[in-house]
Amino acid sequence: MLEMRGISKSYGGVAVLRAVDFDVNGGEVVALVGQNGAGKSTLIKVLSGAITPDSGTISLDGTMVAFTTPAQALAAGIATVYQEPQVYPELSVTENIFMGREILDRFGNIDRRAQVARVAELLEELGVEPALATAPIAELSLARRQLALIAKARSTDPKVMIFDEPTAILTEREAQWLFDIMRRLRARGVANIFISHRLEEVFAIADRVTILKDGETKGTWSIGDVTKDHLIEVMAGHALSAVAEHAVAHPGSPILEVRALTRQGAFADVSFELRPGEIVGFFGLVGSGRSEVARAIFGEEIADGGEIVLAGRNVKFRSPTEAVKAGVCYLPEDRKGQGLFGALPVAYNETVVILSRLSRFHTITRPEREREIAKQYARDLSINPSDYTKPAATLSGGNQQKVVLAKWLAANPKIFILDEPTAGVDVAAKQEIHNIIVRLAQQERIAIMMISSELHEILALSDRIVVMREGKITRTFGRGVGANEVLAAAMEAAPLEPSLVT
Amino acid sequence: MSRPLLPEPPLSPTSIPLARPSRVKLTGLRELALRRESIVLAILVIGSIGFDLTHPTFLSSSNLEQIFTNVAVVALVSVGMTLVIVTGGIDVSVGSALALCMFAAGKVMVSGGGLLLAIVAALAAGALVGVLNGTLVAFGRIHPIIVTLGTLNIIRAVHIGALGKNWLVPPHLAEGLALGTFVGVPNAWWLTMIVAALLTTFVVWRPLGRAIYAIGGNAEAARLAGINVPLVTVFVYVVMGVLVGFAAVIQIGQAGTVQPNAGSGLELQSIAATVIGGTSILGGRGTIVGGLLGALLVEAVHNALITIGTVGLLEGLVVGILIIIAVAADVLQHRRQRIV
Repeated sequence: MLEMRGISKSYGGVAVLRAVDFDVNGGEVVALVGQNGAGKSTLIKVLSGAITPDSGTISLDGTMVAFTTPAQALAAGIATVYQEPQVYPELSVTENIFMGREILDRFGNIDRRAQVARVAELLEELGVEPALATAPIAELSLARRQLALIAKARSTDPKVMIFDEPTAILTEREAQWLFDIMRRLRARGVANIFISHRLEEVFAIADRVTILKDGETKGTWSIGDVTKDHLIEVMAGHALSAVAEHAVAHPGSPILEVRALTRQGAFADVSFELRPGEIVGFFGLVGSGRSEVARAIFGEEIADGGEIVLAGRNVKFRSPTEAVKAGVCYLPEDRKGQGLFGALPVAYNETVVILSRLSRFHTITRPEREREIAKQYARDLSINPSDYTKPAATLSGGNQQKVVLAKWLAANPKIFILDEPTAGVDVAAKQEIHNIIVRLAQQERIAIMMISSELHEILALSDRIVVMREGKITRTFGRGVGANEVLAAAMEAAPLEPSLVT
Repeated sequence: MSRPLLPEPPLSPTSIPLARPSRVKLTGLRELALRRESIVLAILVIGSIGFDLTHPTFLSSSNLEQIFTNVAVVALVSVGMTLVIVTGGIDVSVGSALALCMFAAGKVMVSGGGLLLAIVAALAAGALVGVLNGTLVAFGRIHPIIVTLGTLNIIRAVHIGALGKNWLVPPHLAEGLALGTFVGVPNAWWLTMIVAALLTTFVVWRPLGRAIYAIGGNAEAARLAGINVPLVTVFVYVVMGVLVGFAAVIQIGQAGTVQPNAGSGLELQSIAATVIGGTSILGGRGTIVGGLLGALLVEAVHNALITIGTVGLLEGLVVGILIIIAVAADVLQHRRQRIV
């Protein structure tokens, strides 16, 4: 039914998809799996017309198609149920479903009755109360809202249905409900693409499974011909790392001890230690609670239980300001939204935290020191261009990230929390940032907590690896652990006992 | 603090070769905005000279004195408006606030208080309005345009209520300050320049001044960097209020009376001047000098059109075109520099 051949897509020189092949037949469910950043979302965006590929072909029912807008893809019979759906919360389910393509009566007015009747029909087909058709979508539970959006996708009678991690926000029972719907669609000859991080679900519903890794297709298997362990192995692959192995000479005593830290609905019973000069990598899927733990340490969110001991003292920061004063810095994942002052010169970005130290009587008395600092970071972090009077937004992503790093380094952190430090930067800059992180640990003896969804980054840099899943620490590994072990701990409900793995 | 943060560059094959910064100078924001300022200045100078060729009275010393006297009220408010807009906010209540400050100063004069006491009263009234606006914006988390739209109406109502049926006609204490000259330059312009110079020094040399730009550039990053965002926000609105207070004293001297509709339209004039002067309506970019020049340009256009004799219709047209050109230039520059 659907064939994608040689799909490639690059963003600013970074290849996200490399000659990807993917196909799905009518009346089957194909699971698309891979790590974060493997290219699944990009592939789906190509298919749904949200982005145009650089090269490659898509054929639907034997006809070549090329979409430049989502409307074209929809018209051709490809409907998508998005991971984070956009809804009009105040409007009814029916109005949401028919937004922009209303059923009109002969006077050109919206035919509400016909719309509601059609939605009730669709909901019934999905096994949902038809009465929900007129309810405001904001009043629906997440699961029912998800179903309403499936009804929306169904309303166009598509040939291909894409489910982009639909189960991420559903309970297990709700997920079963969703699988029933997918089985029904399959029986009606619809081609279903199912994206999920949960391998159990893949084995429960899919007929075939395709693995993407680093933007390439790593293979497609019938579900009966493959085991979970094999899939994990393929996904993990061999981690390629150019970062030199580094050993921590004298780890010393912990500077940060986190004990049984808990925050309702986010994470529970999280305990770990950080030592000066040590890089502890936090791995897990998106939503596993890693960033929430970091924010609780940084005083951005308040934990309900447990304790944080910093250099022997019990601390509970109520704001980031207190944390920064105590030597805890946090490089946020959202660089543009939370880290960078794009309109301000690079130098201003780098001194914003320490401006009071360059001042006396609330006046900047040492502007030359500001220049020195900016020059020093331009040199030490190879910030390019080195002209620190330029607005920070004019730099490339990698150099922007170095500027944000410099901002926190200027504050002399004892503990540096890095949240996805290389997200959205190109390969060369990534390498540079990795080297900087290692140097900070080894030469500056900063204790580093590094959150990353890139397994290769975690494996290459971390002295210890903490794996989280659904708000809990599932495993902790030392240096030299295999990629598949880490990935398995992050993806599987129960941690594998080494003795049980053959 | 003097310890090197990263002593040795790494011996990594993949590192980009270290680039020595070639003679760089930290002009930063100033250099960035000077471009716009010089454009406005150029338009002002060339336009004035060009207009003077056909209307030779335009650049006469008496007309120049007129322009620099008249611009003071809008210029003082525009300078404050620049700071407010740099934080990403806006203050549309300045017209009503001006009226209230004039009332406060006028009342003091009428009841026998001296000029100094009248100035204090005007500044205090302005500061009070600033505290009210700033607090609602910073702690109430209400959008500045809504907050100040509300206070615009409330303050105007208070002003009219306090004024009663009659106009206030205070003794001419502020006339010297508002209309007099010192070494040939109007006193009102002297005051404006002193205030602008002080504020420019402030934003360049004070961490607090820098924080104003940081908040406008990225409030969330500013908060995470340890800046007390609500406090700085209140501070900026109070500065705005105090500047309105100064403007009120000048206005009372120039008008001679306090009327119910005093200061109406001032918000649009000052926002126009600020935007023409290069301040980004999105926040984070703009300078005091820009606001000052923007106000001068608007006033010069006003004066020129009076000279022609068609002020009513054409002024709106010309100022409107200037605003749109200014904003379009800003958007184009942002796009080029990839600043969203």
